Amino acid sequence: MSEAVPLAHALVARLAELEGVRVLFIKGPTAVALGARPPRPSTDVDVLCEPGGLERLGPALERCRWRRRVPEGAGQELEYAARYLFEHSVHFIHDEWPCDLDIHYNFPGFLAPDDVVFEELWRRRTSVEVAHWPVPCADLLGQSAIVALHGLRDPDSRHAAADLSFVVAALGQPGSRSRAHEMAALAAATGSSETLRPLLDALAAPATVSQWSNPEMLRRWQVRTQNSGTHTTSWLIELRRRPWREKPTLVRRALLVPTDQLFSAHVGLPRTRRNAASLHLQRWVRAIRFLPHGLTAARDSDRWVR
Amino acid sequence: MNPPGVAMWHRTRPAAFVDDGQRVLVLRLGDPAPARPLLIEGVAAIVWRSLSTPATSLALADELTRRYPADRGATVNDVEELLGALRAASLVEVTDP
Repeated sequence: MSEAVPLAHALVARLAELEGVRVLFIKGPTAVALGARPPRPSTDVDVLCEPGGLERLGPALERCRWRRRVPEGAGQELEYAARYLFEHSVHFIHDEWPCDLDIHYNFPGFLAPDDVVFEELWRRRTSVEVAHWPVPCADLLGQSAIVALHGLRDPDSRHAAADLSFVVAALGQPGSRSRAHEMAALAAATGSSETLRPLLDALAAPATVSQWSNPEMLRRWQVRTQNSGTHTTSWLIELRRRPWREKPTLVRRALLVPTDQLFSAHVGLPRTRRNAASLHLQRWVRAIRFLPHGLTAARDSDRWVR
Repeated sequence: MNPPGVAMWHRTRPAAFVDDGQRVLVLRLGDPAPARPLLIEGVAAIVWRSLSTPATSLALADELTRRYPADRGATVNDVEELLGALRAASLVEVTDP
């Protein structure tokens, strides 16, 4: 894994270059190199792709035998919940590579339109050598915003608190008052003045007004961050939205997912009945654990009308 | 064609690689579609590191014998053989004059 992730960075950077697609590497080794995240091994490659670029980068990856991981509720089944909970990326897996590629077409928490966010991050991009290969990436402030948003989105996740503290320490060093101002400006430009509020407050950054402020999007963000973005939440939000006649089918589908989807996150695991049963059991245990959060999110989601 | 020992060798470009000090994994990126990471270990890894700048097989053999005292003639032959194998794997090339 320690070798695969850097090499996969280089591979994606090269493919994007050949396809003429602008990409920015985020999180992972590039964030560590820039001092926006504590050093720790990465298990996947995170890339923010320019709007529309996935239409060229995706097929290029598929020519290299990467394939899209079957997402939870593939197709139209979780369409509403996916939009509601800020679905943001496509996962690619490969039988011979032990890491995933997570190709983002947006990043949750930046509430401005995708093209506005990408152009702002692209304008201030930098480059880092990964596997002796130069890869374009978000700069220190961009990476810091992304690392912070990632942590704030799932505040109970393992690294969330440590990552946020790390970013505050990285940007809040003595004499870095201008950094706080720059971060406030970046947040305003990308519609994250409210979603990044804990970071901006910790940096004593000035309050700025963003033209991308959007109360409904912000409320969705709060539902998402307060109730954990688990599959249980997605299914329950979708279930609440659907008419009664569709609910039984959706419940059955949530409980018994197709084999392809069940095994897509377990590359190399033999597709035996025993393993399928074990994976289903693990799913149900997780579902029960996250049921209270999911029910709260589903109830709150009622107020959102697209 | 250059006589043996005079040809300048260099790493094939473009390629990305990871080197943990023990082994080197190289991913050639000229045509990414068929690219697979290739593992280089032992003396081959040492030679790969030495080729951070182009070098002749004689210079590479000299460096190896400085680090690992051995018969120079035999080392030159070993290095030539190794470079041939690395070239067969498209990991190194002879620099155009």
